[in-house]
Amino acid sequence: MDGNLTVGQAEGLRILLIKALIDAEQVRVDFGTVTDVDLSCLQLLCSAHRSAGRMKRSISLSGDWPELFKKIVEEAGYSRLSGCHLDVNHNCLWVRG
Amino acid sequence: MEDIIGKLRETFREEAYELLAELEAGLLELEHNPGDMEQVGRVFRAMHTIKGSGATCEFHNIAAFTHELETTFDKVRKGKIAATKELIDLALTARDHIQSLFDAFYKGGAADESKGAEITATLRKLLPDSAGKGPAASAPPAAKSKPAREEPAKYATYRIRFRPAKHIFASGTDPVLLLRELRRLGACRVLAQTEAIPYLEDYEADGCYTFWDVILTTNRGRNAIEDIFIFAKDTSELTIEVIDEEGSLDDEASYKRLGEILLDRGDLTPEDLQKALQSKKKVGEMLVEHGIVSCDKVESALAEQQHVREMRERRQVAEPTSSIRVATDRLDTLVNLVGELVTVQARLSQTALTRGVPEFLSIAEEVERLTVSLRDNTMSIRMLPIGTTFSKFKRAVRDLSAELGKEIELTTEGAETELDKTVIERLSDPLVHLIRNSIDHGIEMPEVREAAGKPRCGTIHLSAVHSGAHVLIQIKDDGAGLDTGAIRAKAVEKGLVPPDATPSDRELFTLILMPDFSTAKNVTSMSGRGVGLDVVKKAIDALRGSIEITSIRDAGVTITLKLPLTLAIIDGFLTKIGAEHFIFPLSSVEECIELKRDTARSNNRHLVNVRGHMVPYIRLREQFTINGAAPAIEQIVIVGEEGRRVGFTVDTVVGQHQTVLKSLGRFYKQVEGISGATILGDGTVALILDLPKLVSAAEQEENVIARGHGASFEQATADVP
Repeated sequence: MDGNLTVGQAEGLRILLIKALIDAEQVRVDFGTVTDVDLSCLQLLCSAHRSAGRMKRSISLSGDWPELFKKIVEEAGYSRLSGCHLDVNHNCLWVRG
Repeated sequence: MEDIIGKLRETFREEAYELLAELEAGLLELEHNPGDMEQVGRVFRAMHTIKGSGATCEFHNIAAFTHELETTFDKVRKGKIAATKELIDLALTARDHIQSLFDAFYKGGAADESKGAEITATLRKLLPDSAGKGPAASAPPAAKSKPAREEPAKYATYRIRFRPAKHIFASGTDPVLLLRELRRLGACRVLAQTEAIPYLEDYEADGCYTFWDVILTTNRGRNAIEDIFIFAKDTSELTIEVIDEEGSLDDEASYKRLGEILLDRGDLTPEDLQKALQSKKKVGEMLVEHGIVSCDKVESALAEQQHVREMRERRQVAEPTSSIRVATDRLDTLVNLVGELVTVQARLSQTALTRGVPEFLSIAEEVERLTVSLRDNTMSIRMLPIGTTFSKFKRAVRDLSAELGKEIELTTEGAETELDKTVIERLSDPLVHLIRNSIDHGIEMPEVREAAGKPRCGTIHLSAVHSGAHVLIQIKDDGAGLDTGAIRAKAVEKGLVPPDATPSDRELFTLILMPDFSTAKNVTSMSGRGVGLDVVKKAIDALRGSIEITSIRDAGVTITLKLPLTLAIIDGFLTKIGAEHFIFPLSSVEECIELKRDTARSNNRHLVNVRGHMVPYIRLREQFTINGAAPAIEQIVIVGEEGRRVGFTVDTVVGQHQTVLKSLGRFYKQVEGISGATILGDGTVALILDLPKLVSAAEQEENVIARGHGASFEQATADVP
């Protein structure tokens, strides 16, 4: 992924994620040259993760998060210690060891 | 009324200078890390207290001036202006001005009020909105009719649940920005509640599905929190509850249990909690497993629990054990009384011993035990960490190095090392002198350093460490080091060293502490040390300390000051020569050996073989011209003095003795080799030996003799480990 991932691009991202989950069993999101991220992106990733769980697919984030991504996860209070009840496969995107 | 203010002012005196020191330390730290909000807070608090207390004590000029400074730093605190070098420079100047205002009152003299106006004007220029405001717009608080001491607001912990409207994005508000604002108010934990996020197919691109639980500890009050959400308030759900307050009754480190928090928040009904509690599992796990409470909510409640616990713990650490201020002279009286008591106790013990009555003896022992702990306790009251002095030097180094165009960093170590208050006070000037010397003559100009392959920025390392009954204070620089050649030339010129002699570095370095060694020629032709170092030596001698200098050319100089922990009572080592008693400071004594008369006769060089090493000794009987013959077997007390071992012969060794130091009368001040006296249990006087003086006197004497023989006392002792 690259460019801005903010609320303006959310619809595009949503469709991209749906397609990816239909096409592949395992989806990996890589934040190559992302220039801006906001809450909507985090929500979408969360939503995609839930959808993947229901579709018996899996989605994961690439290991090295860019600084600005780390920052927004922290600021929006998304980082957590354990996944939510929809995290059936125990691979919540926001649990970082 | 006048009287009350006077008393208030006197009470405030010490605190005022402490606050100024605190302010300075904060500013210097801030200069290092301009973004450090903790330091900004520290600086602000110091200013605030100076202003508040200043107003209470009716120092109106100080309160008004500090108010200006505080206003500026409030802007820094709020992130409106940056803590630039310029601002910090100005703040330091302002601090100095405040000090001069305090000085003018407490120490007499006049402060330059015009300087204050000048600083205030410059400060105002730094403020972003200065253009519209005249000086009248910011009335100082001192103008109020009743200047009350402003207490900083209390800290409270809030539980905030913020559920923004689903279409908050559309209104142009980013909830994350609001959270960011919230974090600025204080220690904060933000936990997103994501359970409402739908699957991708139901997801509306501009929807906000997240809500937040925030636990925030701040002293800014509820209004500050509400202000942040002012534009989102109408459409969003916002609940703010105080869950913990400073000074609240149940101020223990523990906090509510998880179930209670969830109940409080309305995330759980009492019935469900009851059910969950009946199972053996942990409440949190149980509730999540049964789908009663979502995992997010449990995690959020756990975060709250942890946050409050941490805050309470921090508060307990922050609240120091209560203390009272006591005038130093009362403390001095106490120390004197304890000194007298120690002397009387020694007499009691001795009398008990001679009477031999068991009951009497046990009482004497009890008294001795109590006296020792009373002595230690009293001494510890006088002990202060040396760190306060250290922070003063930071400023000196900063200002002086800037003045000379040098780049120097002062690093410190062992600031918590405790020393007698008097020692600390009297140590300040010598230390300033030594540090100035290092800056002035030790550390080279940045270009010179670079050319020599050293880092541009020079370092002066100041450290303090306990070593037995002494404290070692070291000033170490990485400058040019001492020029031994030049010192030697100077010494020869002054006739201190014969032209053909080859004095050791150690001997040479000792010379620079001599009074006449500080000439103008020194300053220009060599590294310049020796400028007034005799003053330092005198001050350290007066503290019964010693100075050791080591230097490596181009690598720097290390000066080590060895100081006694206290000046009042020491552990002594009592000995006898004839009918006279002499006391060695016990901390210097290393061992005792016997000296048989025939061995003594066989060598007139006064050297004794101790396990393969030759140790020189001084015959105290001769030194002090005590009449009578020495016993067949004498004792040599071997002491470690400035890295060497030297023996002193005495007739008999009595043993350890708690020694209350009494200075000798004016008449005896000139007696060399004696540093003081003490009164023994039976009322007789014992003299305390001044070991460094005795050693150096013997050295000089030996050197005079040795010049004919080609060997010196110094050489004889130099290779002894």
